[in-house]
Amino acid sequence: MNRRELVVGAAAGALALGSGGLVETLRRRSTFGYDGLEVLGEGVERITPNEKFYVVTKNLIDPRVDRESWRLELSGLVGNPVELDFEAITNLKAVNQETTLECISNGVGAGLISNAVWRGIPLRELIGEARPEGRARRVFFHASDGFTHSTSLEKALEPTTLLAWEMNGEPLPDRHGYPARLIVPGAYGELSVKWIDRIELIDDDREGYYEKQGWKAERAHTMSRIDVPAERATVRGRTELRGVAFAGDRGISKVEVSTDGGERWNDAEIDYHPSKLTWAHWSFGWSPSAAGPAELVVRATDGEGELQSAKKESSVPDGATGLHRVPVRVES
Amino acid sequence: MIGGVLAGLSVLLGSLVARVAFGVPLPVELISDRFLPFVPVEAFVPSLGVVGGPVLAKELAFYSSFLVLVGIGIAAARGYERIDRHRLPILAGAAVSAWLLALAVLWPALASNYHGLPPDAARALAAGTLAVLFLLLAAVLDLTRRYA
Repeated sequence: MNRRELVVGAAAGALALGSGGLVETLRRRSTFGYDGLEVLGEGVERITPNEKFYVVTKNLIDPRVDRESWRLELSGLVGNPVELDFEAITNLKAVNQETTLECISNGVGAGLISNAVWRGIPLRELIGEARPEGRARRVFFHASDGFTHSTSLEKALEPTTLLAWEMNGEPLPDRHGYPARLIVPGAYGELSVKWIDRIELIDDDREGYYEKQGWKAERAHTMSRIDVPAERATVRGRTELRGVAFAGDRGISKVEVSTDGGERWNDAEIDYHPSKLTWAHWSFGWSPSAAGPAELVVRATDGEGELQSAKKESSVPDGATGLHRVPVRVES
Repeated sequence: MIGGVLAGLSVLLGSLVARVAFGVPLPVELISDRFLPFVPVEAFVPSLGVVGGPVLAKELAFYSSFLVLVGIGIAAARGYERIDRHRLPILAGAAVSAWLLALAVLWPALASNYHGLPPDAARALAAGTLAVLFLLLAAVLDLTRRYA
């Protein structure tokens, strides 16, 4: 090997080594370890701790936004464009609002759903300050990671649609949108845009990231899930069945459980349901009458009296429907 | 061959430094953000299943994109080896053309910044980074052809 080859080889080695180190840095920050994190089963808490809250992200590596340089811009069809830094926003009068979020890709019986107390301001206060023009009819949200989503101006002006900067009393974790995100009750989670940096009032029908793909996230379907017992569990004697139910911003008025595959239905107790914006935790004491296989099924009725759809549909394009069925074995 | 590997590794290292230090999206992030929204959900969800789910798909995209960059360096070196006359002007012209093409194709995605820079600043930084990466590719190709 001559000197020239040695120099070239050394340069290639140094470049490969440097790249390898940075690839490892990015891999450690990547979403590979937490994308798709689910909350289900025995240990589901009423308020989901931040580190257990479900995550679905389009990103390979989520943003780590520098709060000092971050700005939120309100622009488009407004009479008074507004640009606010983090301090200005957090000095506004904030509210705490417990709200459940569910991913549109959450399948029947799956755990892409969680509940937290969010602190922020109603978005309508910021939009009001920007003085929307009469022809503005939709709002287009932009985030630091290039994610976009739209909604109607009416939805954005609902008093429960928040710009939030705290989650369960702590600053938003990076993976949940630090320094600020939207909370849009009633819609699936993709509309609760994380790392938001621009809000644009528009009069056209432009579509955001997932909207272009064909997802329709505006109205979360009513869902219910059995967390305990687990599938194919063996039960003996009196057994407490537990789970959750959720219906966007419509609330839950009733949860029913069947222990015979859906032939007969029994009312479950709703143990926790602080507002229409949150999930309900339910329970039902079951005393099996015979040994052998059994199929547990749950269904919920929303706050408007509409029974959960039993029709089995995948999450594409507007969220899954169908009843959660859990086969178990009863032993005497 | 070695010139192409060096050029590809230089671009890879440059893009990684820009991502870690300044939040500039990696080429794979720019390309996926630009084009994935146009994949209909009826095709998108099953395609994730084919590669073993969304996380495996992301890992595949993440790691393979680095190999692709080195592959681009090798392909560019092969092309550059075939040019005998007016090498430097052709190389510079190709680098500038590739940069302009990248700007035109990726323009909407350039406003992203993973450190939260405002969109205009983010776009300027991403465009500048792409310019540096294409110039770096060209410079390393030429240097290695001359001296390696």
